[in-house]
Parts: sequence; structure tokens; C-alpha cells
Amino acid sequence: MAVEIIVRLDVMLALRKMRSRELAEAVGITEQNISLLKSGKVKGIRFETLARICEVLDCQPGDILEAVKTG
Amino acid sequence: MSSQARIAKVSNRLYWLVSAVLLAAPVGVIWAFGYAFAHPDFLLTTFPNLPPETQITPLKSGLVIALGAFTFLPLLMAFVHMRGLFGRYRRAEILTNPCAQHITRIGQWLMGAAGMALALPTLQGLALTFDNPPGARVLSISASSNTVAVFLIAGLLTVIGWALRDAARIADENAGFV
Repeated sequence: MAVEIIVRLDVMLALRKMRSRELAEAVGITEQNISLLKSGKVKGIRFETLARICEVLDCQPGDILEAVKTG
Repeated sequence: MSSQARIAKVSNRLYWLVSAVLLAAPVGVIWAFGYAFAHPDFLLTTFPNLPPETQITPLKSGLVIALGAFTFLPLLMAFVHMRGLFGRYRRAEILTNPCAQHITRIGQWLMGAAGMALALPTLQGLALTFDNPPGARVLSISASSNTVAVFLIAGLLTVIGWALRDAARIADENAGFV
């Protein structure tokens, strides 16, 4: 059984009532990259970016990333 | 100036320089053919160690020039790939697989050019003396320090091209990371 990593960034953004653009500015990456991250269309996320997102959203990596069993 | 901007700027100049060389090369070959037919005796000064029995005919001088032009082909192909490489670099397309392939091809064609340069004097000597009486035919083998230098540079470029292919793959992988 395979495991897939799902990005729950949109959930955290909704909980913090924050827009993608605001997060992008605070983290220091483009809004396009935030969008790609939300849709899971990235190969990976740097620890540096993850740390900044957690800092801005005041959360843990586990609140953003979730391992889901597939198949 | 950032390194990317510098690469793009210098590559732009080199692109036009290589383009000019590519345009001038056929003109040079045609001029050499014309000169060889008009002055067949120039071969005597180019090949001073030819046996006295050697007769220079328009056919022979044409053959010698044709061989020279043929050996120029790998160099021409290296220039074609150089133009392609500088064309990509001037568009700031640097760490990509096509660029790595261009560098590998430049190295390989230069290797071919060095090989041709090694064989050329032998073939030209044979072309000039093939109808000489037995004992007056020439079979010479020579290698200059320039040929060895070109071999080494060609090998270096080929290896750099392979290494850059790996670098391009890693850059592509990195681009997928946020």
C-alpha cells in the first residue's frame, strides 16, 4: 500500500483567515509557488520554506503535511 | 553584474562572432580551391620535403585542397554547436540538458578535427606522390603540439558536457522544490 503526501495548506490558511498572497509575501516566495504547493504540484518543499510557513501560520509541519494511504 | 547577465552578454558577442566565422568559412574554402587551381606550385612551398620527381597537377592540388576542406568539416560542426550553445546562453538558458549536449558535441567534433589534422598530412602526402615511381612516394606521419592540445581540450569539453548533463538534471530537480 502506497503512501501519498497531501498538502493541507489551504486548510491552515482558512483557519488563520489568511490569503495566499499574504502568506507568499510573509514567507518570501512567489504566490505562484504557494499555489503550486497548495495543489501538490511540487516535487518537494525545502525545510527553510516549511519553517517560514510554520512560523507565519503559527503551526507545526504536521498541520500542513499529511501522509495518506492510497490504493 | 550578476554571473547570469555576464554569461548572456559575453555569449551574445560570441554568438555573432561564431556566426560570422560560419558565414566566412565556405567563402574561405572556395577561395582556397580557386587559389590552388590558379597557383598549383604553392604546394611545393607547403610541402617542402616532396621528392623532386613529384609533379603538381591541377587534379592533385584540387585533391589536396579537397582533403583539407574535408578535415575542416568537423571543425565546422563544432562551430555550429558553439553557435547553438551561445544562442542558448545569451537567452540566459544555462543549466539545461540541450546546453550540456552542445558542449559534449563540441568536444566530440573537436576530437574528430584533431584526428583529421593528424591524418591530413599523411593523406595529402599520398595524394601528391601516388603516381611517383616506386621509392619516391611519401608516407609521412606527424603530430604537432597543437594537435595534442586540441585533443586534450576536446576531451575536457566532452567530460564537462557529461558533467553538465548531471548538473542540468539536478537543476531541473531543484526547480521542482519550493
